[in-house]
Amino acid sequence: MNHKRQRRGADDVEFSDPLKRYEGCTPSDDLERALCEGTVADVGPMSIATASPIDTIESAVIRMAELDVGCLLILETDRLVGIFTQSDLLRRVIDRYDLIKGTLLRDVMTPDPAFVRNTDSPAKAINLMSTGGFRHVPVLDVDDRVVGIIGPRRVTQYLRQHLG
Amino acid sequence: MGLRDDLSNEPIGRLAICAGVRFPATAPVRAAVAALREEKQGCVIVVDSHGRPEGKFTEHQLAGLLSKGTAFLDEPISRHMRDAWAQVRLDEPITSMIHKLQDYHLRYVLVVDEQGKALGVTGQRALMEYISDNFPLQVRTSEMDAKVSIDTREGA
Repeated sequence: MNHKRQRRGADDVEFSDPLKRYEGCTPSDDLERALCEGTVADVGPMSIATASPIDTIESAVIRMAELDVGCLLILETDRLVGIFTQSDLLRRVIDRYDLIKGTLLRDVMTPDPAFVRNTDSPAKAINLMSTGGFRHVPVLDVDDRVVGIIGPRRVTQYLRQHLG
Repeated sequence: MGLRDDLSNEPIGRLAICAGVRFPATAPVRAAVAALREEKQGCVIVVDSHGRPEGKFTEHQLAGLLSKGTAFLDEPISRHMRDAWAQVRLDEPITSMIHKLQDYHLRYVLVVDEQGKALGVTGQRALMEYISDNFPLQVRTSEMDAKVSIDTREGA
């Protein structure tokens, strides 16, 4: 018996098609069609409230209160670098607010947040919200510029529009 | 049947319903905030001594309150709770909840039994999860761009 291990050449590697189990979207009704074939842009992303990573927590809280928004997108030279949300406020800030209100957002924000493209399907945004537990998902264009933010309220509105 | 029929015919009982964080109106906001954080929820149900809902306190209120200082943390919830709840019953269709969420600009609805006693809360997040779970072919085949962690879930 030959126990010598033989290296396999590139031609010997079995090709496994990563999409072999992929089944295309076959919508059963208008709502499914809207979710699969529509775009995030169709859902109508909301305008954004932004901050800089070197803004303080206190200024972010005041801005969120003034604008009555649930999150701030943190931009650096127009690029998305983080997100600061009500949940960050609840989990990381509120107990120590008086002590850390001068802390910079870059130290408490969620860096590199998940995002969707404005050309992605609404189904993809729902996937992100559901699987990742995100309430706010930034929307980027093909040049990585932030063009809006999408949340369950807009998605719910979109669902209602297509319920008939 | 498609998703539209499912949403029109299936009851709210099919959605994830969270028992909710419950406090009496006399409890301090600080205790409610700690419970929200610990339970990873976004909304407190304020109940009377019989368990009937009197109001709610949500994480959405935090920035507004915090912008005026931290004194509110030691005040009773009654000073800051809101009484705008939309109520639904388990046997109502999911579309009924969708309409209420939109009509009243809500994130959560209160699920009550026939006596009006609070069973828990459900809302936008549960709806997103329902669509993902019951519409998997179309939703789950979308790849994700970024690493996500269930530990970083927001709110309820």
